[in-house]
Amino acid sequence: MNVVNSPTEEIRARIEADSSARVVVTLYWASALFWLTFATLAGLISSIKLHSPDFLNYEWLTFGRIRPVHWDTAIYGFGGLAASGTLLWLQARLCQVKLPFRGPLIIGGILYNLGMVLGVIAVLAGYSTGVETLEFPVWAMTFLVLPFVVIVIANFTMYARKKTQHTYVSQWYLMAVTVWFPVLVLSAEACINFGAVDGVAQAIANWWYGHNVVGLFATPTGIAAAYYLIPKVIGKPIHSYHLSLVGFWTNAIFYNWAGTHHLTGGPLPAWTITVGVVGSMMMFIPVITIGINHHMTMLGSFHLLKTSPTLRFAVMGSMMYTVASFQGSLEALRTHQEVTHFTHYTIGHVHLGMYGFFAPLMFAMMYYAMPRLMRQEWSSARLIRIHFWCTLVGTALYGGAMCFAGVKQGLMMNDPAIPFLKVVEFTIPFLQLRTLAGLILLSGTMAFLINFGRMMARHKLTFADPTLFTSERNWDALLEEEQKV
Amino acid sequence: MAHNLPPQLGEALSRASMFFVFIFIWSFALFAGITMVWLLAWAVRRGEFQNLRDASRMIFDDGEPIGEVTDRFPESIKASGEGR
Repeated sequence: MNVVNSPTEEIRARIEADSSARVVVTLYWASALFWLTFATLAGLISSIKLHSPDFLNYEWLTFGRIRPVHWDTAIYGFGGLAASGTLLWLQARLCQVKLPFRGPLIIGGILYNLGMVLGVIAVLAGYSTGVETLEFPVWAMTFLVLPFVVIVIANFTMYARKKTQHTYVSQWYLMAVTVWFPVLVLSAEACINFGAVDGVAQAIANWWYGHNVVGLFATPTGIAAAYYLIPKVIGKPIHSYHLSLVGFWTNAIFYNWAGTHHLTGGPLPAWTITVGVVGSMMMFIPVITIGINHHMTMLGSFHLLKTSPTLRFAVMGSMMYTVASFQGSLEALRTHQEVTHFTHYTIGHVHLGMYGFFAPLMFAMMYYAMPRLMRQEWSSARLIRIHFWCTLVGTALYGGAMCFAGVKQGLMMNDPAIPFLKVVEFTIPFLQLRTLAGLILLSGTMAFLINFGRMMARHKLTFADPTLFTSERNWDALLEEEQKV
Repeated sequence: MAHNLPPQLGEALSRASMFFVFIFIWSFALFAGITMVWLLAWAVRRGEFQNLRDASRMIFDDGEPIGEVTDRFPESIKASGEGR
């Protein structure tokens, strides 16, 4: 085992890892931000259509087309590329090695974007498969799966070459993602779009995939980011490393079983639903352990939220992980589903998870890593603040409005004395609030895009007092000392 | 495409393709399951669950040691007037 012993070598390895990942990770994250903006815009159009159905009344922009485009560009375009960039940068840093296969990874990133464009065009043109979360035709999905083969190989290569003795908890999550995701996609495609199963079994396969693409792809990457960023930014190790491993393994064991709770009340064998409910309840174990660990690590350092943009987003994401996961587990209960199933509550929950938990952690990762990759500071603190507050307020407004409206909507629908039109009329003000929340979220995303674009364009900056490169200053000093010796 | 073929041939092809899909799914699931168990056993043998204190500190180095805050708003640029 090749273990780095010299402190200067450790610092050199970290900086070399950053430099080697610059082009690949910037490409992945820039693309992710483009797709996030696109997804938010598509979501906004979908949202407006719910209270103003004649808005943009074109065939290719009907709700049945633009809404899947919103979700697919959010989960694959933003989620897939942001998570892949995070995975590659973090793994290179934690293994203290250079990012391998940079050429194939760049080609993979371009192919992935091409697949996204083709998938979006296909769905807008009416060629959706009609299967939720797998709406892109198989030929478009192929462009998304192939680059992941390179990412998996690069990930395992870095791990095999690692110069550190231990495997950090974030690495456990990242390694797991590269094992789980290919199994998920290929199995779901084989089951559904290649027709291995049909009828009710297809619905089970669909929700097994739909739930796990969030839980076994986006969630582990988000948690990996939190476990790295929170201790790293505040300069304090994780409160309990034991708990972090308990959280990982229980997440690995239980999450996979929870998907069928989406079909509560459906024409499925009761045991399949019960498996999903039990799996969801067991998820309280990793959620509580992760929540406690993050909170206890932060204890005594909350004042740093005022001064660190990375920490703001990371802590927001971590807190929302606990909230959204508690909500999700409780949502699996049959009694809960009697009210909230088929209501806006579920939409509120999904956005709390994706925009409240996953996206802020990806933003945190970008705010922390980009200055180190591009070797320059963010150009505007004001734009960072706008981005943060828009994300926080937009998510809270969205989640709050949709969850409240959903519960009331469910209770009204369960009352046979209330005409369905009354229920629809009740939801309209909340749908308008949802549009407002979407606008706020879009404004935040645009602020980030501008800041990101400025950095990409190598905005002329000189450092009065470099905030982010103290390690490199120390590195130079250490090298000088070493030379003297 | 299968509906253009003679019905018996179409059915046979459909069954054959389903057979291969099922073989694929089960072998893939088996592979993934065995890999995870093997990984866990490998990690235990390698001592990944021992000396966890060191593992929790591996993200720090002499350049970014414990106790040093490594991120803050780029205020100093604005304050100095050199940034924009």
